[in-house]
Amino acid sequence: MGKVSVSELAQNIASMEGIAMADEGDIAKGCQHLYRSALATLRPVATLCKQSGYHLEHITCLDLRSDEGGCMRLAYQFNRQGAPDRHLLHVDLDPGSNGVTISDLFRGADWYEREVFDMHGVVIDDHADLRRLLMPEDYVGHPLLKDFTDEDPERHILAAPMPAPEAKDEG
Amino acid sequence: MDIVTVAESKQPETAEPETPGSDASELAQVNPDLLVEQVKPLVHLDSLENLLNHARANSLWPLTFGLACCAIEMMAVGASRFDLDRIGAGVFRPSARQADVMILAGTISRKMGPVIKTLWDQMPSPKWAIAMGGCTIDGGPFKYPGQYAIIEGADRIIPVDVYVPGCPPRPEALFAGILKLEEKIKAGDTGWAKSA
Repeated sequence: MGKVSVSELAQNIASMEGIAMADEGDIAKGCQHLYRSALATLRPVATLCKQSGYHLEHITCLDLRSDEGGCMRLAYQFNRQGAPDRHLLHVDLDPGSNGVTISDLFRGADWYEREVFDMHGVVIDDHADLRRLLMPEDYVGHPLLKDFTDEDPERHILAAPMPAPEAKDEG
Repeated sequence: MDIVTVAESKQPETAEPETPGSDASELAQVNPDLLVEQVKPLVHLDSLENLLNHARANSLWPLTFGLACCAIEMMAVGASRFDLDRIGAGVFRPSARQADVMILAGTISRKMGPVIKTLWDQMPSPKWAIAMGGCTIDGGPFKYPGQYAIIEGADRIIPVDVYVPGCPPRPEALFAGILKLEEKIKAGDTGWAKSA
């Protein structure tokens, strides 16, 4: 788990098969390196980051199904202690297909992947405990999808608004 | 207009026991003498009730229970600068079984709703509820069409006696709310004892 220089990990990742480096102009502010890859390359990249002493910063999902070549985009950020060297990995999934867990490599990925499942409905394969994280257990739907509508907004209201006490007293 | 809104509630019944099946005003039209007899009963236990209500009002024990940022203000109310103990309401109970009043301090997420309902049901009657802050009044800043995260107001799940607006309310405002609740109790409001 020796420290590597900024370029070393970036070069290692860029030299992997199935990785496409983004153009310089594409690189989001705050991310030193941006890659695109297929799902199959996710775990090798995560393993490499782990071995290089990097930690997982964040996982999220973007609903890009309405874009050209629509996809669900998983975004992984890796960083390290000390001088910032942030690596952002985009994994584009076909709508309806599953992701794969990295929570065995990074314990912190556990709840991020549950959140992605809860909010976007992307099933993460091999996850040990893939339950909803934020919404109630019996909730229907995935709120951060662009086409989300709450089927039954009153579902979790346990009673109608309480009537004035006068009305209650008749009972 | 007071800063605190008190939920519409039954006025304390005047000492006027209604004859079953007849209306007092109807009686007055029929026989005014009879009505006079009714408003002055020979025996009534109002003073005992008053005594009990006085005790209830001056020893309101809130449930130790915070939902979101309003709870920070609630803690300030309990601490020395504002000091809820001055009015006997500073004894935050860690068990719902021992609590008289539930101060709903903060946003009620949909996942938390059933938990709050359970806690409320566990509290023995007589019991009262104070909705503290915009979120517990109608959802506050988190209310918008199609929102999926919160319950829009505490009165969607439990009955509320006093509403304290603010985001968050100042500690003085919560104080005012508790004093309003004391007024209600002293005036004979036994909370939601019957409806629970």
